[in-house]
Amino acid sequence: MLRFLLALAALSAALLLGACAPFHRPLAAAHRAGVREVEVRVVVAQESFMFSAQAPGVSAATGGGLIGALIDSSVQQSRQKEMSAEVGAIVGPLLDYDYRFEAGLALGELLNAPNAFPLKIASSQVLAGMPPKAEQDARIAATKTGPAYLVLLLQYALEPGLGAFTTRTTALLWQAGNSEPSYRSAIIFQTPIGGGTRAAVIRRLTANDGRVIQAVMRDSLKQTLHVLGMDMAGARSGAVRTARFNVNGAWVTLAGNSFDEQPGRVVFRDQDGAMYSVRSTAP
Amino acid sequence: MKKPHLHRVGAALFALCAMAGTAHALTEGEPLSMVYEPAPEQAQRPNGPPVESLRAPQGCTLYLPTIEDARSNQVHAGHLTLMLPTVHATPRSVQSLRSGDAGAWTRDALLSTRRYGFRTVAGAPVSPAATRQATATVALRLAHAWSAGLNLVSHVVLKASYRLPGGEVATRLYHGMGTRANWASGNSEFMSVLNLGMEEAVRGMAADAAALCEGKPLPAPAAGQ
Repeated sequence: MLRFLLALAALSAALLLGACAPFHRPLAAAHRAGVREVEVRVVVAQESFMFSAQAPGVSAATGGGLIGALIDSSVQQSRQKEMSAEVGAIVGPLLDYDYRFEAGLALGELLNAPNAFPLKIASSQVLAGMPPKAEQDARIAATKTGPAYLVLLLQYALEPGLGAFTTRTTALLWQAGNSEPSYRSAIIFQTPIGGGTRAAVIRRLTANDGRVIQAVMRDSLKQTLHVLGMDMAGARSGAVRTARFNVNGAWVTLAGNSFDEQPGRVVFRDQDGAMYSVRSTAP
Repeated sequence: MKKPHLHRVGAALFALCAMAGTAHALTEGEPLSMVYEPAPEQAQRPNGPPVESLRAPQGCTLYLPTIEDARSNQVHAGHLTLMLPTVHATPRSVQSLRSGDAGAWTRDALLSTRRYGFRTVAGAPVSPAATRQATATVALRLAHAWSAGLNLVSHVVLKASYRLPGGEVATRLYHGMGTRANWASGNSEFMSVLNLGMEEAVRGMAADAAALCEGKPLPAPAAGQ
């Protein structure tokens, strides 16, 4: 029994250490040189802007545990009902604007711009769902003789209070038939959209057939791909920069090492290697 | 003293590992059943808050000549994305859920308005003899479920186009949001949270249809409609 418990403890420790290991895995020069072509897939699994009641934190207040978690869950349930009208007022007018469509346009622009990406792109596609595991494994195995495989798992959101539009993306590159990715990174894009009441923000985003929201959506993927390209090309970190960043509706100041200069944007890496592209004029 | 402590740690670790295992109980290869099952109607509890009841006027027929699946993505009905609760969180893993026949699901959900006292007729022409009636073509615009913290959440949107007296057509969107505790991220759990969202959207539509049957004007659209 004791041996079993110790094995279990060792396994859990390994899992926990794995979770704490640095997520960012830079693309080694040898790996970069080994990529002749890459197939790019952007996975956008969500269908609309997703809202849910924020965790009230009862479980933390009661010292955690199942009972606290259940109370949290039931409190969230009643708040979710209350949120329904509010969510309808936000998501309803935005239903006709398709992130995947705008992402497809941004990818097309990238393909048409010479040297915009450090790897030669053989094909690119925006997917409406994650391929099943077997298909994904087969696709990774095919990199042994075929092009490398770059997957971007992208989630987009309007921050609560509609202060900012954010995308959060994990980029993974597989090559040479290896099941472990040779490159892995986290890229966060954010741009402020707030100012005025909720109705005013929605009106502004959807005016002129949604010109503003569509431009923000396209810009988010263009910036994400640009930052990804810079990191894959080995862009070095420079001076420390700060930026205002919206987390769950609250503005906080983040700091990190800048690795690109762009008018109106701050592009930096935090201490864990996560990359940000944030507007410099945020509140 | 030492041994019971080890047992407790062991039990906790076992529970943790078991939970990690069930966190991926979703079956990607199997589409969601898309079987509509309404929750039981809320009943008033002794000394509890009053329950809002919805009853259609007597003899009210709800004609639904067309019911269509107009989702922009008809292949998927949800996803399970794992993200750590950090400022720099990005999706660590994504699994998508395939959708079954959402057209039949929507039809069955709309037929369930009979629980509110409607005579609901789907896919048949409007009878000119019906005096108390409401007519609408309905499209399913969105049906998606996802995980949020300890919960599963769904958002369902129905678009109804009402034929008003005088030939005018008025359109309304009905949003329904479901939420429930996520035990094992199972397909049936995703299906049941989608049903909760659908039920709320259908109830919103039934309230407007009841007003039309009573000869009242269609309530003004809420924000976002």
